[in-house]
Amino acid sequence: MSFKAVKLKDNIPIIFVIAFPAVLGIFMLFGRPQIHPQLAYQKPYIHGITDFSLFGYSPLGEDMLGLMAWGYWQTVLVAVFGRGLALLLSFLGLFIAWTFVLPRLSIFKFQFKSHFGFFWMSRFSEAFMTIPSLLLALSLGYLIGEGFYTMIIVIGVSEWAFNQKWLLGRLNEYKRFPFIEASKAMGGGKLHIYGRHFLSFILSDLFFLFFLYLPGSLLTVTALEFLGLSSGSEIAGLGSIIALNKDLIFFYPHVILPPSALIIITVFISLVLKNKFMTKFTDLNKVRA
Amino acid sequence: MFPYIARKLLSFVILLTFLIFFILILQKSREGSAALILGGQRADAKELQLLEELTGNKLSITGHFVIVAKHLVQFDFGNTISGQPVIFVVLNAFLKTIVLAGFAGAFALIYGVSLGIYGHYNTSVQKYFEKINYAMMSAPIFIIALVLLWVFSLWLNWFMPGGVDSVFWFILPGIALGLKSGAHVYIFTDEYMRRELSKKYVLTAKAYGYKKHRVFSKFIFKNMSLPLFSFWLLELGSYLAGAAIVEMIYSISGVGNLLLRALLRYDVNLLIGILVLVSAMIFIITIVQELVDRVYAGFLGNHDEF
Repeated sequence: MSFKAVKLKDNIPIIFVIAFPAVLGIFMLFGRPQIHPQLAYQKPYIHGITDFSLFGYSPLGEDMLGLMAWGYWQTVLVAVFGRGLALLLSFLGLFIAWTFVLPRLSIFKFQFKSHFGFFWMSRFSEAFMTIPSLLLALSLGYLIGEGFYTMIIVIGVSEWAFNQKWLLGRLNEYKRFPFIEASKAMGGGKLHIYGRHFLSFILSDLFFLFFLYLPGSLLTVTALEFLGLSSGSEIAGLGSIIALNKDLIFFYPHVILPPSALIIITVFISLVLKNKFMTKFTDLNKVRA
Repeated sequence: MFPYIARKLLSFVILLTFLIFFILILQKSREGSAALILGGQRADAKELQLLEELTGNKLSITGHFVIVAKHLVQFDFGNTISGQPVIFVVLNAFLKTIVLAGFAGAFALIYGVSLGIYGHYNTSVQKYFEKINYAMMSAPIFIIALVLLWVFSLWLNWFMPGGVDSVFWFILPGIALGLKSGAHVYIFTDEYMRRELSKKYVLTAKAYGYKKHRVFSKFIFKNMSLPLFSFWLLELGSYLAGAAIVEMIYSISGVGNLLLRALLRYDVNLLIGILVLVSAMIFIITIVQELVDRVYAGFLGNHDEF
């Protein structure tokens, strides 16, 4: 029996990924920060073991640490569920692309082959990518109306096309694998091939895709919050906190610099995660090839 | 090539048709209306009724869609709720956004390529460049824009904090918009340089006695120029989206600010006009980018079917 040495240095990003949200989660246990007008704008202070405020107070007298912890979780949850929805939509799109038989319409020729669904889904997602995702998300957000679920829908819909295009490309690769050809030759139906052979590959693709675009989703959510799309009526997201306090930088930097740093750290962690999974995914693809 | 573009155009038009219909459905189900924005609290019921008719709020979804489609075919997009032709309003704002995107694009290219190449020329600074650019990639555009505004406009007083009076005023917003993309260009250049430096032709050139900077400029940069241009074109699309944030922070009346105005004022014609024009612009950029890719594939002797 052999033990593989686990280097602490290699796992620092993972430890950080788990520890960072957990610490912020602990601060959430103290409850949502309450408004105390008498404490408004108070700067960070440490007067004793029990009498301290590490990040000071907001213009409404809310504890900045609590505000950031709640805002962090709000922003991260919207991004994570939004990514989940985008992946769900693209997974359904992939199923449609593989199974449905639709006419391949061209102004030059009319063909009727078995990959019509794939053709149309590919064209549709390519066309969808020409609409800037942030502008689309902003428009949809205002048209549907603000809220936590709206933000998730908006992120899911606006980022669907990139995932769909990526998954369709992967499906195109998988289709050419010899064992798929063999399965087809032995009479395997479309549903059988999808369920038996593609699904395991696609699930690992979805897992990778989740982390691939997670930094982008986080940036989109914060940008939307900054542009005035609130993801919750009671809790302000990190982008909203910055938008509300951006004019106070020279007088009360403690209300704007920590949330800005928190966003950068959060996105940086997701970038590190993305790179880590990208390496693993490349290795997995080499094995598959 | 022509059938390929025609097919893409067809799918683009179909998608836009769906999108416009979807926007009209959402607009109808939205609380509030353009008439309420125009009339405000002063307008009585009769005046509001009149304004509702004028702004097209009384029309059914299909009726409104037919009118919008007719305008789209004529390429005029109708009028805004204030009565101005949408096409003039959007093109006027679009011009400013294009100048801003131009500044951002130029800055991103200069920043990314020069840092990427210099990092390999002087390897002791490479790891710092890498860290700075990863931090840049992790920062949202609005934080970069705000920091630049605080430092260079409000603290050092080097640039104007907002508005547009001359081309000079676009420099700071251009940098704010291009810095993030510059980090992407840096990563691309760095990766490309790494790959090329391990190739045999570089080794041969070194063996012939070419100096480092000659190898970079004469061979690697030449090889890199086309894929770099293609990558840069892909990034251009993101400037149009990022411009919405930068324009808001620097008070530039470009497309992004106009979109926000259209959304807040329930101006559906203006909203459709902006989305169609921006998407058409990105569609053209995508086609150009694919043409460049095709030319590059031709150079490599790999002629892909379009």
